[in-house]
Amino acid sequence: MSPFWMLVKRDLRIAVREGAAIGTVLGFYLTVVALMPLGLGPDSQLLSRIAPGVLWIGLLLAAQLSLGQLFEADQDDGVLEVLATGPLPLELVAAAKSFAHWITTGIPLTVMVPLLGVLPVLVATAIIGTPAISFIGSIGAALTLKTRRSGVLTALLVLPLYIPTLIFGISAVTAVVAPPGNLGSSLLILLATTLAALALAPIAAAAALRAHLG
Amino acid sequence: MSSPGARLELVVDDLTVERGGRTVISGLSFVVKAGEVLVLTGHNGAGKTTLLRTLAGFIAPVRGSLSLTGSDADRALGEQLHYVGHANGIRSSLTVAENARFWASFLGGSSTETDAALERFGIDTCPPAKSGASGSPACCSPSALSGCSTSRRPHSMPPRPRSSLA
Repeated sequence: MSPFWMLVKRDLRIAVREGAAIGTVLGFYLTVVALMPLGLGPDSQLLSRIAPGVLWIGLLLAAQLSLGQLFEADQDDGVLEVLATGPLPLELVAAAKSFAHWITTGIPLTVMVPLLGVLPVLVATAIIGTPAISFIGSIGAALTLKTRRSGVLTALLVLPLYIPTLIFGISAVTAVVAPPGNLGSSLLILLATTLAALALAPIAAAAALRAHLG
Repeated sequence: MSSPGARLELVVDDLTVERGGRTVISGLSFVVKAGEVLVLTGHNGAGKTTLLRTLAGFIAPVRGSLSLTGSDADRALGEQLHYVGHANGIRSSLTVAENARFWASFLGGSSTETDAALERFGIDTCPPAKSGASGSPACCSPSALSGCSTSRRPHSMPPRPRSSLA
């Protein structure tokens, strides 16, 4: 097994042992989706117009709940330093951790979405868009590595980078809920954004980590 | 520690390192041969940890060179040294054995050697789960060191008081 997959497997094992994150993420999303119509009133026209935005913003916020601490535990344990001098380039270390994070947040969220009776297109956009959230978020996590209580700071730092994912995720869902709209091209651009994030975010995150280590 | 290369030498030549605009190490040169132990002593802020972190590759020196003669030329210096930092490199939600096995295989060692090393240091029976760090320090440091002995790295650099190396 290559070091990359060893690291992913280790992070998954730790996530399972330490437990809390998946439940928090799903519970948060459930709360958002359930409370929105209650809070905004029964005007179904209004709700159907804002539903795509609300559902997607909920996904974004839920997925990045635990993102700020992506590297923190490893930094505290001294694990990060050994990883940095290991056979795996730091970029791939960041990618492995982002990937493991996606598996423990993005995938459960995507699975939960149809259970809430929500649209299949939302599932498609979730599967395509949530990896971008995990990967882009790793940049914020790396930048705020040694900052205490950095959760909100992380979110603010990378918020602009989430915007393309958000816009095209919402526009894809809107195309189905409130046509006309261009479903195909929204999905494709969403996919392109995610692929760009997968390729570039680890590089930025690794650069930030190196700055902290040195 | 296990030493696959018996004629390795760590050579540091005219090393100068700056931290935060201040020159911490200036014109330092030394050679450490296989089997030797170099102990750095000095007051706080003298630059001991800085030197170790420079050797590990975290800090780029301003001037000077570091090399490991007789070693694999393809790998960076930091990859062939085992930097044992202030923390243990142990995750408390994994058992001691799981931690050691991960490090050994991640860093290119073998699992049979790992199990043998765990036994040799007497930590194969360390209590499982959540006790990786709540085990006594005697339990934790051997875990870090067994990671050293099972991965194929010829040099080990622990920045800790001499007493805890015993």
